[in-house]
Amino acid sequence: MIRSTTAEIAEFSLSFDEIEHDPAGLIALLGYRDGEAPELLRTVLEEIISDAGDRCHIRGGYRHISEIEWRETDLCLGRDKMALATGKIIADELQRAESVALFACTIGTGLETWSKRLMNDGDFFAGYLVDAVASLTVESAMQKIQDYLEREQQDKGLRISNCYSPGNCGWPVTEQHKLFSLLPDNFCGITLTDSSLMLPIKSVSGIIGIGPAMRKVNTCQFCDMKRCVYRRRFEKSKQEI
Amino acid sequence: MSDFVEQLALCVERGKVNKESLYPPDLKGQDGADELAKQALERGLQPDTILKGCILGMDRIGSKFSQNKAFVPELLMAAKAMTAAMDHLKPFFQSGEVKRKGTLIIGTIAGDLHDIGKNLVAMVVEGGGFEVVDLGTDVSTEKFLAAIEAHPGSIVGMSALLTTTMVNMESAIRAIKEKYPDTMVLVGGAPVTQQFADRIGADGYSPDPQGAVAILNKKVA
Ligand code: B12
Repeated sequence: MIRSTTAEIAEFSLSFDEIEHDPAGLIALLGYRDGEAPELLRTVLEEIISDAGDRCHIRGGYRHISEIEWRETDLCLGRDKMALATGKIIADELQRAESVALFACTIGTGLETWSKRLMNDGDFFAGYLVDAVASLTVESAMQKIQDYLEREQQDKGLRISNCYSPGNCGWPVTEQHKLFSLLPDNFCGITLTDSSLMLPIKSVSGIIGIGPAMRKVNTCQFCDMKRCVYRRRFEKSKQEI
Repeated sequence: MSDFVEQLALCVERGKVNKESLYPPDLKGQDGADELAKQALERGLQPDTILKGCILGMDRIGSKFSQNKAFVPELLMAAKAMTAAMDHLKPFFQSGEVKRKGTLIIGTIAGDLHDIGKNLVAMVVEGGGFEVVDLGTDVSTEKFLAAIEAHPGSIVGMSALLTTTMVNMESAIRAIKEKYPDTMVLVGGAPVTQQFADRIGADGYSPDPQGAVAILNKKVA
């Protein structure tokens, strides 16, 4: 994990191998319960994972902002007091944060291109699995950077919240423009389209609260998508508790 | 003949592409959709029996998918087997000897580049016996209009993955309805709901591909 930081900004460059790739976890995310998935799936996934490294350029990072102020459910950041309309759910969780970190992470376009090529050649099965590996990789990479922030804050006796993303928990996707205006231009090579889409596609963004009162909650409880596979993972973890 | 339809349907449902394919393991070494379709033509069966077998197989796997009894990878293997059988039908489609039920023009709406969901719908709809014209991603209203012009009588499907892009469906539908009031438009994608579909004047919505086939079947019935 190569890191470059200034007082406020941390940027990382990660290799594919630094991220844990768990075919079983991925198979569960595709919807299967233990032992139900066709064997072929595991074989193809393992092949994809072993070939994906060279096609991934993972970059991610965050800006740490201490100047924060709430106006009802709007979070005003920095000297210019850029107001993020995070909405009630996120405001309730982040209200007691002492500072925040704005995040972005991408794995580049390599896996996307590979997936498209497979699909164009008629191999939808492998193309789809490459796409799924790509989605999971960017999420795991983001998690890795968050873990880094968490350790850094723990050393100061502080905790971090979940990462909340524009488009989730009632925070509109259009707010991506404000979030990215607070990050350096072209941060980690990510750009935004007019429709608030991040390019490369396999990118994620969000905000994390930092402070002694921060906690982690499962955000599936705030979402209406009852049939989402992530929710099944959440329901399962609830049962295990 | 019905034996053949059943056999082919099984290969399609289980994703058995051809004899060499190792998937699914329990059908290893047996003829797949490819061989069955070829033999059917050699034996002089009507080409449309191949289409029937494909439709039946895709319908079965699609229903399992809707009920969470099968997942995307199995759906894709089935689509692959279906394609192997359908390849033998190409000349008959071209000559008009075998007719499909109708045409679906599908695309990811302007401003959006996500295509996995759209591709799945395209495959399953094709397996349902329809011709599919895939316009790709970031499809402008003009492109949809030009495709309707080129394929009169077709149905339109639109896909989006973000709330910021799904709103573009509304103006596209308005423009389509203005020029081609009889054209049916279906919408779908992760953030799309029935309420949203109703509000923007879409004629149909489905959370999954099989539902799209059901709507299309009703339309052409
Ligand atoms: C995996 C995933 C990602 C991946 C990438 C996904 C991809 N396809 O490339 C990653 C991790 C990169 C990602 C990022 C983001 N994501 Co995301 N993601 C998902 C997730 C979990 C699954 C999406 C998916 O690929 N599904 C598999 C495909 C096959 O399903 P599908 O596209 O929905 O298609 C099916 C149906 O919808 C239907 N269908 C599709 N099209 C059509 C068309 C017709 C006509 C019909 C009838 C049916 C139909 O059939 C398909 C097959 O069943 C969803 C939640 C969910 N469970 O859906 C969120 C979700 C789509 N993401 C969301 C968001 C907000 C984001 C981010 C903006 C978050 C952020 N700020 O970082 C970013 C945006 C990325 C960008 N480039 O701008 C939101 C979107 C809602 C919104 N508010 O707009 C969702 C719904 C999560 C949520 N509950 O809020 N995401």
